[in-house]
Amino acid sequence: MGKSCKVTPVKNRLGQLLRLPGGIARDEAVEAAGQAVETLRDEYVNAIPGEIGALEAVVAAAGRRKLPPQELQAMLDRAGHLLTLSGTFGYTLLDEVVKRFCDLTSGMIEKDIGDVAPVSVHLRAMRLVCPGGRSLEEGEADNMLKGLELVHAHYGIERLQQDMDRPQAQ
Amino acid sequence: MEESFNFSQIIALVVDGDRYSTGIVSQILHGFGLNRHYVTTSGEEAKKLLSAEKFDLVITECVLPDMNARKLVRWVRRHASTRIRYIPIVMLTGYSHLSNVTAARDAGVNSVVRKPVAPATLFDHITWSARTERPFIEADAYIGPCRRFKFGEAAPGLNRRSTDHATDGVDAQAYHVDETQEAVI
Repeated sequence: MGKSCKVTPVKNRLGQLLRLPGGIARDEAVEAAGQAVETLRDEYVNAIPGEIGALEAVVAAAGRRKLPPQELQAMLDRAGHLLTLSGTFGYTLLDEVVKRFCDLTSGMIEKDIGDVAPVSVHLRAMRLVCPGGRSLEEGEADNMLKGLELVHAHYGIERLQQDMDRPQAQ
Repeated sequence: MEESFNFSQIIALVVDGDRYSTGIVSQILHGFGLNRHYVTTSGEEAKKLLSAEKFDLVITECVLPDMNARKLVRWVRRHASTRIRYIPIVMLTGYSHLSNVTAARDAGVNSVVRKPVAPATLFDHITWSARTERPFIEADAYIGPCRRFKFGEAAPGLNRRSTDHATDGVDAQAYHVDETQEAVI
């Protein structure tokens, strides 16, 4: 007996509403949205050091003990907030560092590694390049990112982005 | 003459535990003229709102503080009320959750957008979902908008950054889509 499959035509209510008279052209909407997001810049960029501080507090509280997976997961989730801020407001280098932090913590959770030192190194890098931090030359920034990659290599941790780019099983 | 889209009558629900993300998405929606939207941080609250109000669009992060959003999507797609069951869902996914794209697709979302959300990308996904006719499929292994459809027209904004679509390069093969076109769920 074959598997059941019901196919139902659906009224496209969203489409009907969007096609109502009036409205806004794409370019105009995108520009207005960009301007609306810009109104958040000061408040949100000012929040970045505090978000890093929240991650630093977890490490400080850990002291010399290992970071358990649930704390690493909480840090990973919190780092997602930082990526929202750095990506939206154009802090490219901070974005790169936070992505490497996400790579690191994901890998540590996967491999059951609880060392504080690699996490601390990434947090120091974040603090260095966050708004109000140092302005690095291109070569300095490259060296810093390469240094973080060496930490990843030491622990055998790969980038999440590479995982994403691998062909998916069909 | 450039096509216009009227967002003023749409009611949207934004679900995300990241307060910065909800703030940014809200501002983007305001910019589009979509002023009637609710924001919640939890999946359970989202269920309550969906049951109480009439929404035309759901935008949800893939990982919520109280549940994986796949659970929320499954709840929507299996709801007795067609008003809820057929709601278009745009799922947002952060850098550390990109591997959830396939799972989100299988849960029945309409499209997936990588965070941080850019206005052009969100605009394109909403309008593309709205202009693409997709029947609703209820099968043993999948409930949601049909994934085997033809692109009548590629989503606008092909010049935007290639990384905006978390599905790029993943679903083109899965859905036998011409890889030169947009590959959006």
